[in-house]
Amino acid sequence: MAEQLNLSGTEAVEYFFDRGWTDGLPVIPPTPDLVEKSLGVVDLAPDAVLGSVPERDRHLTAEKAAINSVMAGCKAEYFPLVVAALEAILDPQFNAHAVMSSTGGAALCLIVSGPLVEEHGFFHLNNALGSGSRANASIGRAVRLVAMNVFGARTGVMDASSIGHPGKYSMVLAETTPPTGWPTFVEELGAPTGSTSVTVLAAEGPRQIANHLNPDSRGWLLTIASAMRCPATFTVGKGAQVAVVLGYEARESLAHDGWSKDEIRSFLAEHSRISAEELESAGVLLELDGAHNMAPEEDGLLPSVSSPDDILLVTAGGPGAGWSAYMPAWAPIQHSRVTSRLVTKAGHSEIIGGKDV
Amino acid sequence: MSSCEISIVLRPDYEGDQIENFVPAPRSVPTEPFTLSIIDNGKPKAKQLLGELASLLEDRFPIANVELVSKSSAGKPLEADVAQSVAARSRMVITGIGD
Repeated sequence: MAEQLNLSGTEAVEYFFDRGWTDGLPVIPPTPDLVEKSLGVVDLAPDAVLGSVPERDRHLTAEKAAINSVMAGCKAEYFPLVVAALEAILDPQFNAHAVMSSTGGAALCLIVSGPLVEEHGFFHLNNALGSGSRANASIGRAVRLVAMNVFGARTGVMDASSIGHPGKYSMVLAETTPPTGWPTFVEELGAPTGSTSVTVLAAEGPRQIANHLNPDSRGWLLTIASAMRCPATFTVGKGAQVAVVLGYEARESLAHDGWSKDEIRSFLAEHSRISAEELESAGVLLELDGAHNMAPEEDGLLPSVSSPDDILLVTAGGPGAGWSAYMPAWAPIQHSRVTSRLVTKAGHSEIIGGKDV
Repeated sequence: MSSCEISIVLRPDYEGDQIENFVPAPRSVPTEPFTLSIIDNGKPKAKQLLGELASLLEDRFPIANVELVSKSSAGKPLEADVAQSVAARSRMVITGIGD
């Protein structure tokens, strides 16, 4: 059981700052009654283990998850989703140890799909990756606080991010209902109707993609592909998993013109390939004698994504002039894989989508 | 209850770090010929750097041969069976390298 500290509310906020137990913002003091309320929602014992990071010889209990969830500002009813997110992060395929310590400065980006998006009031249209929603902000913050407080992912301790990015406070992308005829993200994972999934991607910061004038839906995809093959991105030419956010105009245009999600993924994978010459002209030297083999393939090109199935295609964002977004994984696929869990009303989450997404 | 009246809060960090009486293995200078293994983490130029380090050690110790083991990912530990095999045939191992 967690140690109890005798502190007033004001004292607690300052004490937590002094101990390095915050992300730089004030936290909600985690009182026993608030923590018990969260634990009660999932019906997990305080000492139930949600997972571990073996390289750090540390494990996460439900109680510590609930404490940090309260601190982040989560409502108790968010806690099943927080549990699912943390269990996805602690899946060995995700390789949390490397994700949390690398100089690359990855965010623990959560992609949420299903009925809980509306139920919890996630932003999934305007400001889908912006501020203003308690669910988006606090659930992403909760997993970051766990990384910091339970697993030591703090500056000067076990987080060596050289630059990092604002998504390390919180980075949650909630899917809006796709255009008619397209499956939802959670349906693509193979989940039963009515399920909500959480998928975690170790992500660099999002790039906003503008295409305001082109009436051709193929033009939308060419613009997105051009962002995906930017030589300055670490994984370009190596192959990684990525998230592509199809904004309002892009998804409506593409669906109207008959594109399926699989066709979009194939197109983006093909058109985001890059030549050695393009990389070298941008000053990027090819890695040929290490873990990343950047020898060009038969067509003379190198991949930016590992395969079409490694593109996480998410519909989100509100109407405007024509905006989409793209988030690359922090590292090539051999270092970390996207993992997913289904949110359950009580107990542990369920594993889903164990292949590529 | 106002926030100022809160009297008990719960500690949020990991409380299991209790390393007591840690005693490192005894250090000794080898006098018989032995195998030095170096573990390349897969980062660019790691092999070259470690190779240079091995050369410097060869000037100081009776190193019979140097073995190189390469990892597939700098972000993952060496597989347990590989680590045991390396330990079994090596008198000295260089296991750490950063960026």
